[in-house]
Amino acid sequence: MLFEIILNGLLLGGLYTLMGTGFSLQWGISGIINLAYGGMMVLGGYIAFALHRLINVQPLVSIVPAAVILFFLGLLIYNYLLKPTIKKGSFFVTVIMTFAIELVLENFMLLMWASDYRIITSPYSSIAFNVLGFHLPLIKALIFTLSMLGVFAVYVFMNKTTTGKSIQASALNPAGARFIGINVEKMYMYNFGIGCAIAAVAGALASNINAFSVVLAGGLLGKVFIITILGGLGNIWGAALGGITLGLVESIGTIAVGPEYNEALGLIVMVVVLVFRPRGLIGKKFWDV
Amino acid sequence: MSNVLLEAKEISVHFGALKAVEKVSFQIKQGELIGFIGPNGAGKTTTINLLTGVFRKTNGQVFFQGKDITSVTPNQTARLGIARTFQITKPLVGMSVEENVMAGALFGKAGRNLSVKEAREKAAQCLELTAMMDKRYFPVSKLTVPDRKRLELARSLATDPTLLLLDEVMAGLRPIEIDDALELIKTINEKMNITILFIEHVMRAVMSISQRIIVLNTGQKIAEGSPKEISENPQVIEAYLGRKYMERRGTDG
Amino acid sequence: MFLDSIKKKSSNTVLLLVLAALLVLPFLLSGYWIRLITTVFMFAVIAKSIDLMMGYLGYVPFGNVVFFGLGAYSAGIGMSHGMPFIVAMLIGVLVSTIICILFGTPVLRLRGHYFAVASIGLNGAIMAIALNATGLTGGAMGIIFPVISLPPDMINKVFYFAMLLLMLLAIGINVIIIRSRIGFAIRSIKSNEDAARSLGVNTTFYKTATWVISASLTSIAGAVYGYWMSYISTVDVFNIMVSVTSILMVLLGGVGTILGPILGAGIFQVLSEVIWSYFLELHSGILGIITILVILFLPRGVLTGLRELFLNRALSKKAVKTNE
Repeated sequence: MLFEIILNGLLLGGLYTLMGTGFSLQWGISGIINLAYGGMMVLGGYIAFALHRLINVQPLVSIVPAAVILFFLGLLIYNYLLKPTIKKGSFFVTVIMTFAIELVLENFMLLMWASDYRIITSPYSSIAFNVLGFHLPLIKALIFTLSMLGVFAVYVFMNKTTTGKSIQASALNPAGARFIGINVEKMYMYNFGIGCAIAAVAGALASNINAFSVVLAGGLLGKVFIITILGGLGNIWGAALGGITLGLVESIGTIAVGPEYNEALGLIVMVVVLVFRPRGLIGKKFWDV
Repeated sequence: MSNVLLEAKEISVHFGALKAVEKVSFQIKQGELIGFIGPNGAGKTTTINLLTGVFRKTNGQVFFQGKDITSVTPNQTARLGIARTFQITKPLVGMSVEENVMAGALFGKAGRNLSVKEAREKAAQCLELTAMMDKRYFPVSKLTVPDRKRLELARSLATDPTLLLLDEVMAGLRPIEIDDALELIKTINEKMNITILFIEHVMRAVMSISQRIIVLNTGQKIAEGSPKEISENPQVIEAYLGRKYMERRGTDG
Repeated sequence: MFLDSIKKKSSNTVLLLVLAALLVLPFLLSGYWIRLITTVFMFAVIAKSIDLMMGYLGYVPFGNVVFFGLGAYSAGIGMSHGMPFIVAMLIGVLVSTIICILFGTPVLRLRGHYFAVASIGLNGAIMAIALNATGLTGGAMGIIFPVISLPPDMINKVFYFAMLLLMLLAIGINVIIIRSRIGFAIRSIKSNEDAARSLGVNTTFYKTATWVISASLTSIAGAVYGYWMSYISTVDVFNIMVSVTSILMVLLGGVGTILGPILGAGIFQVLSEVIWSYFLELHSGILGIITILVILFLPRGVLTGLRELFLNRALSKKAVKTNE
């Protein structure tokens, strides 16, 4: 029984790590607390759902178009809405701006799909394994694997490609980066777009096992905050630590105190960490993967 | 009864492997005007930070008027009567010159007993002293560099300090302005009876008004004495001009 | 100088006239309008409380609604145990103060980001606790306040004046703060915290004190709201949208000014009513778009925008008193 709980927690943790990575990227590198992140995740889920329903795209494949759409949406949002705000206003006004974007996104989704819960069902939804006597649905294992692949891809991109390294440079030392010819603004923009794409992927993946609806956007944002605060800002390992911790906390919490307390538990853990170790459990200051 | 105002006993602060300040000890007596010199990066500003409690963890001890203030926080040291200026000035942006100085008056040593009106009067006095009265209502953004330095000085004077720690007040000033600054510092020390420790790179300034000089190099105190002694101290010369110069000078005799 | 004093006199007169009008309105308008304006007053208080942190200190308390909820619940729980309203309300203030001190001290030492997030977390955590402590709070069922035995007409008027009084109190506190020592402390902290510290400002104390004042006002507003509505539940009074929209009101009206948040609250509520009546399904979307437009084109709020537009020094003299 304990093993199953832990297993579930870890599997959930994988997805949470991916979620956290995108948000943490935007906060740690572009310096933006993206309150529209939850909405973007749900939007990713809806796009995947729509593609699956309308033109019968394989559910796990539909992640790709969702990510691409949200990547470009992210670029547009950064360029036309966020960049001017950063120039003009303080950090917090930018956060309010992302909140406004979230409102628009949510309204849009409400109009398109109403607030009914959707879920993507597919041929592999009902296949399950028997691991050491415990029930392990194939889809959960797939999502975990894909999440981890996603995180790995981000890691590779950030550290092995020129663009990725330029993005890191822009975060660590904007003046220096500019000096060697990196278009820092563009890097921040790409970074934001990538974060949005990751949100879409996480949302699309999640839509395969969980019923989703616009209503959940706020809760998702809350989770992603918790993951980021727990793990510390701007760090893939932090996102991993935060993600897995939250996954375990929720998994254990569901059994120990019941699902209603779950959200509260996560938040309480976050507040405790904030008060005693605000840099997060890892405590690294900058993005250095 | 000792008239030692401030005593630093083997104070040290390390940043990782870097020993920014290492076992520095010195005493400052009431009423003194002491120069604090050393090459760039010697640890002078760090020492001032140490004295005013900026760092949470410091080794060694600091005594002020006989009391141990090693673990006292910056705002508390200001309350006790130790004021400081910053190398790169930190004016209160968004507030006028007068309000900047009033802030010093309201929260400094005598601050608790001052009303806002009284603080305004005190600010006026400090602004008179530093010749800033005509710029009293200026927003900080309108000030030139020398003016910012004067504001910083006026502001710290408003806190009614017993000990004033100045960090390169003369950086960026022209020769005439340096003379004015020297006059001002002397006045503050002699007429207002405020003990001063000032970090400075402008050598003629340090040499002309210091009663005593403390020299720091790579975090350690390497010399202490009168201006004459310091100017002839081989270690000091070496610290500034390098060993080769010393060797060359040796052959000249 | 003479011209300035004339302008000051005229702005004072205008404000007195407005106040007189506000005192008379409830006897002229229908219940709907009275309730609408009462809501404006309430949001004005919440917005002003937030502006104390945001405009003057520079910390944005996204989760300030937690104090609204604490005030409402303290009043409700207190009254259901027989306490008079005022006592129950003051308990709410006490609870809010304690929370500010407990959380403020560690969290306010950090930069603004962390505080903003922590306040959201605080609200969420307390809301969840309220939801689950069914014995004390009634859980999801909420709390019912004792019935007030007055005709509905009178009730409207009573709460109108209660909220108006609270708003005037908030304005008064704001004015006192600006002119006093605490005002200097707060402004210097916002300008340059290191410098403030080096001058002797106990930054943690003043930041926490500001939050306590902000929280107390909000808590009182919550208590009055609860009594007014006769029924509260966690989703209403701990709703993060309350503080977020209040922040929008501050931005809309003008950050760091005395009348700005009030103006913002007024504009916002009216707009909200209009949109709700005609564009219900587009409600949040339009809200979002308006916010985006305000941020992009009126970054310092309507009040400052107007000020710059008409060079109306009278209002600004009242709002940003420095050398009086």
